[in-house]
Amino acid sequence: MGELSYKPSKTLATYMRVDENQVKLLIHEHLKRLGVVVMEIGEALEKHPIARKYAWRLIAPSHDEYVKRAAEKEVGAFIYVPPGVKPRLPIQTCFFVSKENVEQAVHNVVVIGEGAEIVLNTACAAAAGESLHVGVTEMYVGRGAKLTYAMVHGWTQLFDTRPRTVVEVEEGGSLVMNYINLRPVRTLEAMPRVVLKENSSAYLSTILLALGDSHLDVGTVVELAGKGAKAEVISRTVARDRSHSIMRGLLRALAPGVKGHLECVGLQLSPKAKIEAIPALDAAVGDVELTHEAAVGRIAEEELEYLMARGFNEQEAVSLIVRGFVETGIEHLPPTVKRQVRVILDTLAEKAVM
Amino acid sequence: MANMALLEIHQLHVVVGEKEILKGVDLRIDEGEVHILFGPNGSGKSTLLKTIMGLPKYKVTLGDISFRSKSIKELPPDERARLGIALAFQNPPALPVKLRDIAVRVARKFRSDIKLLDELSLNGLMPRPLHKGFSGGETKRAELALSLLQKPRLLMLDEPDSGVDVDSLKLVARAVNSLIDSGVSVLLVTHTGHITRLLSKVSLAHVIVDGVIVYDGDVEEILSSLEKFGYSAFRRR
Repeated sequence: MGELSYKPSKTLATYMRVDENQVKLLIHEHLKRLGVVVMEIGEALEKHPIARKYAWRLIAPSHDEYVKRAAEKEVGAFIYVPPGVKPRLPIQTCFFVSKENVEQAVHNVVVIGEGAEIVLNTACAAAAGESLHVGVTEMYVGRGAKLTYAMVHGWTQLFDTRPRTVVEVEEGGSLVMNYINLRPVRTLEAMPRVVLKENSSAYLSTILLALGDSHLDVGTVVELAGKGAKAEVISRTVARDRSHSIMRGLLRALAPGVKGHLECVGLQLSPKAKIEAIPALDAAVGDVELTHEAAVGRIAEEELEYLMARGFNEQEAVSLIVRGFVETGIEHLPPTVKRQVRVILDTLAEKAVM
Repeated sequence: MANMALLEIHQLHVVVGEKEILKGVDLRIDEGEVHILFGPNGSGKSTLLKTIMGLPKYKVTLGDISFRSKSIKELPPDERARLGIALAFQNPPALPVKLRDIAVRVARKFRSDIKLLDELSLNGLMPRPLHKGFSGGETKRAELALSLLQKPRLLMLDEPDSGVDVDSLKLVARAVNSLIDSGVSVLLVTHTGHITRLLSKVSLAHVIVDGVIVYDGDVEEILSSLEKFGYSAFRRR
């Protein structure tokens, strides 16, 4: 798995699922003492009242055919961080498909109590073959709580994947979400939805590398539902080969005094790589500030020639520009995650020209 | 011991698009020499530097360029850079890459030490995308910095003295002088000549007008003619 290999020593808890049924769960004693819970969702729904209280509140089991599959199986991770708890190291979840003809459909529920702070790292990957991954993830960020969620995907050309993520951020809470797709995939369709209550904020970045015949349709919907809520949504796509990428985004202002900015920028490295940028703004009330920016283009010849004059060959020059292009939002991440994300982005810039 | 020619240009004709810009340029720069190239706007000064660097837009239609006795006419810019030719651009493009990231990679490629840059006071610029919103002085310093990291044998500077504050100009001149003192050859293009009096040595100066070098001589002599008559003194020749 190369760049996706996980290092349990650097995390406080790890939940790893391979294919449909193999699960490995590690949780540090220190976390248990703090009352942090990481457990299988099926078990949590039986034993944990908080799991029962929150499960399926943000998304209906009948939402679409994929969510239905996850609801039928009811496997996945339940993570609970009690109010005020701020573990120093991240909790990690990993979903891996090792063989063909697997339908990995999971349902994760993450509940962050009032004033708690947590970093959650998720890696999803496949080794080979034709399979499906469905990830329904409900995340509840309590009042004044903070969730940093970093997710990396690495699929294969015959893989289909359907993440269904919904996040609700209570009053004064904050969410930083960083999503990176690194490898080819047959289809990836994701439209995470984030609901922001009063004075809460979100910074969401999506970085996609579209390779081979990948079909990516990825966007973010942010509902600015409470007065004073703020969101910044940044999407960057690097497209190559015959890939087709659709970058969507929708900011919906539902309360006065909210602010949102949406940015979709695509970089085409091959003439046949297709990129669509579809940002949308929807203001249902007055006194709001919504802005968007969209651009799709190629690397300017002048930039490549400049770097060549500095001793880089053409491939190195392209890679360097790609690396700069995807360097976005890193400053919002805590130091440990920042380092990991930088390494992943270095890999992305290398893969973009390989 | 006879001096070794580092760069030899013979009857160079260059077109950009449809237009011929250089119309038969001859120039020889020996190891350790410092040459100044004067010329009015549009005379072909920058074109000459960019052609030596090998930028694809500048097409050689006649003549040749040799570096250390080998023709480099067919080489791409990155190979010329690796041979020891560096260009500090006059108007470089803004890049989406931080100066630090580029500097680190250039240093790695040319096995140079990034500490070379300390004297150019670039710390504030390092985390910024290269040349994006840089002032004139910042651009010149960053360009010189990256050129230094290439450990050049021939350093070409394109108008390092235009649009620059006095402090930046002094910093640039000091860094160029330390290269000159270490034996690096320099080809410096200037419109005004402001920087020439800050240099520790000048071997020869040239004036290019309308794509042809019309005069070779002493830098002070050229400067005083320019101060009195402007470029019209050279146009008449």
